[in-house]
Amino acid sequence: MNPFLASSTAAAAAEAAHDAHAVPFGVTLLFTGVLVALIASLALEEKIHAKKSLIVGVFAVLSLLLGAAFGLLPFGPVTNVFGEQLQLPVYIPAIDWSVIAIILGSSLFVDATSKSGLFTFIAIRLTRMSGGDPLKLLWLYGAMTVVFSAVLNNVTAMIIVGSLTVVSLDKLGRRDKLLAFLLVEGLLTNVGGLLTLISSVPNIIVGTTAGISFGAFFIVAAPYVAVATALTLWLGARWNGITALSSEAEKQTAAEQVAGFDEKDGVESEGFLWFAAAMTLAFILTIATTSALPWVSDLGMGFVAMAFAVAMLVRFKSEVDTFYDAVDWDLLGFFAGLFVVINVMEHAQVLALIGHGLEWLIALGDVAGTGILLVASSVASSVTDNIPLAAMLAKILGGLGTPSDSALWWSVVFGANLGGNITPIGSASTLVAVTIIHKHGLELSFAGFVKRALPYAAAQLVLATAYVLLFLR
Amino acid sequence: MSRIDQFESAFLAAAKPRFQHRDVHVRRVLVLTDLADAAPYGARVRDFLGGLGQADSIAWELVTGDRCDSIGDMLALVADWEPDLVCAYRNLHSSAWRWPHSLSDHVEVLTQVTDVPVLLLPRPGQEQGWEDATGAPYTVMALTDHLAGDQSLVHHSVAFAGPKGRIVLAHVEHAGVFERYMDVISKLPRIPTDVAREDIAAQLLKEPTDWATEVERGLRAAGVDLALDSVVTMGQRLPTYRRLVDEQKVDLLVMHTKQEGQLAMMGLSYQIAVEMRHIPVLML
Repeated sequence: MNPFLASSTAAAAAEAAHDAHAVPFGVTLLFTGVLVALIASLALEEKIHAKKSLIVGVFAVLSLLLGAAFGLLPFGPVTNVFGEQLQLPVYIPAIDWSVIAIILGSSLFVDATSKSGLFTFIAIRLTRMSGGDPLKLLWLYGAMTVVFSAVLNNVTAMIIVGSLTVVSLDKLGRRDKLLAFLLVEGLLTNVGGLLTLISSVPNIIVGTTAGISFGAFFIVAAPYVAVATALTLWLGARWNGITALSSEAEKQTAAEQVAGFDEKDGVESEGFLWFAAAMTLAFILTIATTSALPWVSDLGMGFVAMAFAVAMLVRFKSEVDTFYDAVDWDLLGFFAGLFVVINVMEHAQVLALIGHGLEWLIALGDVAGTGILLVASSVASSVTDNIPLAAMLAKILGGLGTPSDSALWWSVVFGANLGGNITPIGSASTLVAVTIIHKHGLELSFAGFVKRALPYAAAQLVLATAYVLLFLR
Repeated sequence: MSRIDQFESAFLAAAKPRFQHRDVHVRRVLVLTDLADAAPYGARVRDFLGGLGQADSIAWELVTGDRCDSIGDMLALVADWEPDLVCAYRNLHSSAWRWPHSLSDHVEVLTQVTDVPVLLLPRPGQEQGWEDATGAPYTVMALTDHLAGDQSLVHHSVAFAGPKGRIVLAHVEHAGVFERYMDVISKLPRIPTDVAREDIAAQLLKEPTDWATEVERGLRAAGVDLALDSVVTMGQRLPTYRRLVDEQKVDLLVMHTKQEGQLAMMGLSYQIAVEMRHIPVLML
């Protein structure tokens, strides 16, 4: 929520609550239909060949028009934290600018940092460490996927590790294992995406809404991520016949093949490489301690992300515009539109309607309610984008006054992230994995992906449900 | 999905070929000549190759004109005798040596049909340039248009340079071809011309430079005692190679002549073999 406009949005929420009975049920159902159509369109994104930002943009325009037509929107001046009256379009305060700032800042920071060659340096160093042994390679690439997903973002992690996997398996003459490696790495991006509060967008949305700090999030998520990673890699090796090299001759040949990788090839300046490494560590530490740092805690994680991005961009003074070109504007446009749609849905009492269903679910009890919410979230996010789901559920749980230590938040976090592993369209990173698979001429249909991925996803979900029910309730 | 390509490119560039030193053993040498007075020529060839590692134990066979007048006879002889090296000169069994514009049929077929390296020497009496060369150490220049990763070229260069010798890894990127592509790129709106020019030129020259560094590492690791220099540049190939031969005081050129899917000798190799008549050329 935009802190400058907190008072006005609080007022808007109060107004919306006040008007709850004023919205006819038929109108709420109409808006529910719009929301369902949006979710269906996002699920069919590949079929209709339209970018997410455009899809959600169309629905944002439609929702705003309908909201205005039915008199649901709180037009008029808004009051900021300085007590000033501002004339802002109604859709501006609807957007959660702190989330946008975190995503934009992190994206710029990661792009500028990757220009130092840091991530390729680490990736190639690990490849050489494996000595070309396929089993060691799988474990090292798996661990790297998880860490990169946690520190960078799932899509970037999949692109880096997936690209390296293609090149290194080709060099080792192990192309027959490419599909298995890419699949396991794709599934691990969503596990790694659970590790920290900023590792995935659902985490940011749910974590910030619930008021979970970065440290608290990490402490809860880390044990699960460690066990789920080990389990996924063990199953991946077992089900795909990826074994260690046995003979000395094989080991020597493989070691010689990977020794040709030069980790310094993409490093233009060693000084900048170390600066980028130090900045990455500093970024993680600052994000982790944002809530405890004087001044910074008031400015928030979005400020931290943007500040680090600016610090890195100083290195590229005259060519920073190339980084602006590389920003995923589709993703940012998608968020902005999505927040607008959800805000309109709130005014149309659609979230309240879904909230009643959720209340019924929660009323089933600690075990059943929490467990079913996790599984239902995963199933929903397997066929459509997990971000609207997380945004909607976070808003509803927040509206129900759910305490920040409730297991229900974690049901949404685990379900929204892991659901992406069930189908190839469940998350952007698994879609990247499939794209790389197809790019290299390997056959993998939608059903083929589900058939191969479902056993892993089921194991991860069973583990997550047990973890939430046993340790987080 | 341009970022996938971006990272794949970075990793492909980082995956460099490794050089592993291997000794080249020359135990049997076949010397072909059509000269009436063959013996002095045979002795001269032996002097020239005197620096080869196992020179004392080499089995020599001097084949005079009457024994391989026809190309069929020559190929049968090579198949029969199984040499590690065949020595000849450019217009063997041809009267065209007076006009320095070609190789003889014998030599062209020999280099393309057999796998045996062929050492082309200047024609005694007519082509000057190897009078002072009386055994390694030599300065050997290995040249190719795709130097990176070429192991055998280096192995042979090292063997013929001999201990304390010097090898020069030379790579001349064809400026004419490069400009032709740049001209095409300048007409494609999707490809930024300046970036393409800068990056493609840099990458074309980086690969052979990296390979030279790798060869140096591999030779040092194998304890090979010789000096290594590299020249990587862009320009017109033949004039540049000709200039380099003079500048570097090269005693022997080493190059490939065969190309997969092609019956004729590689274009550049043919040009060099024909035009640089004053210098011995080892053709692989």
